[in-house]
Amino acid sequence: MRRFVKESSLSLFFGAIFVAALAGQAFSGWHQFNDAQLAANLGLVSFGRYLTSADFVADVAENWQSEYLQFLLYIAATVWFLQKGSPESKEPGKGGLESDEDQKVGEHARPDSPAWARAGGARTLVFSWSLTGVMGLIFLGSWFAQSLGGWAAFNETRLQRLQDPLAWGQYVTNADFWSRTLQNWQSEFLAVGSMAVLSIYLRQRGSPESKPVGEPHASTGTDE
Amino acid sequence: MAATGVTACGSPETQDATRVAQRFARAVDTSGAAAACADLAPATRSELEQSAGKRCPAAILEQHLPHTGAVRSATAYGTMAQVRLRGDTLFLARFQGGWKVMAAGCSPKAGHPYDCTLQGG
Repeated sequence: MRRFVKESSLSLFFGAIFVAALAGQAFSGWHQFNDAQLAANLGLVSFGRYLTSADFVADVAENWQSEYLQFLLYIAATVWFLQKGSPESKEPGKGGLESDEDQKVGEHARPDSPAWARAGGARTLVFSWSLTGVMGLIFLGSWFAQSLGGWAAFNETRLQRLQDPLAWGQYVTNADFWSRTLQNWQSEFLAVGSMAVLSIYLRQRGSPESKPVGEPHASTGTDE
Repeated sequence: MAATGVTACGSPETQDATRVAQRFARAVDTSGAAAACADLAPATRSELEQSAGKRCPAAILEQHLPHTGAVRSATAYGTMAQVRLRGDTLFLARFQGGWKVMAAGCSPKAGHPYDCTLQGG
């Protein structure tokens, strides 16, 4: 048990702060929602009802989709795009899917390689893209959930303003949907792009996301 | 879908809102002023009393709300619902005691909110 905690401390740490932050978001979101209801002379909702409300679903899903998109794009973009001097990038000239030998697949697999890396054919192809595939599915699922939650929350507001509700198809072309979406995307793109560039010149001692402190600025990739 | 606050036409939420809208419309049609007032949202009721300068049961029948017929459609999103009856469109809000009529006697205005005879402040 102790060994498990030590070996998995990174995922356990993020799991714990995720649950704490989600609980905090739910609690503060519930109060914010009821404040707005009170100001509009409308009924208050219980905490349980708020957790299944469109408002909460949209707020959670719009952040999830943008985070998964951020990492999906980062994983996929770093296959082909390079940044000289960045520990997040492959060395210049190594852009692309690389050879089977480099990727240790098929006949180049090691005895302890995953079975699907050794198998060849469709299974190796699926396994070779499994990380972006799953991240992409979670992104699309969260984005779809955002569209449903955002649609219902937007229509709830429209009805408060004595306006007709919109159909889902109208909502996903509406400014509210794209404003919610793009305000998250731009911040993710900025954060990930600036990390790639800042890590050329700046260091964090001990972090695998950084080059070693004494590594020259011109060194690219983490293995140098 | 229920987890996103959307409730379809036949859902219990929409059915409850429709029942209240029909009960309110029936009360107005049959001059049941007290019953109609009981179904009004607090802000709508107080707005009516303030603007008419009299208690709700005395004021509501003077509003000449339209006579209504069968239900044409009903939708609910979270704490709000819209029920279209033949002759009128009603907006309802959900309170802890159930659905209440927030606006009635509403006519659509292209590109603008509905124009309602009765609505909350």
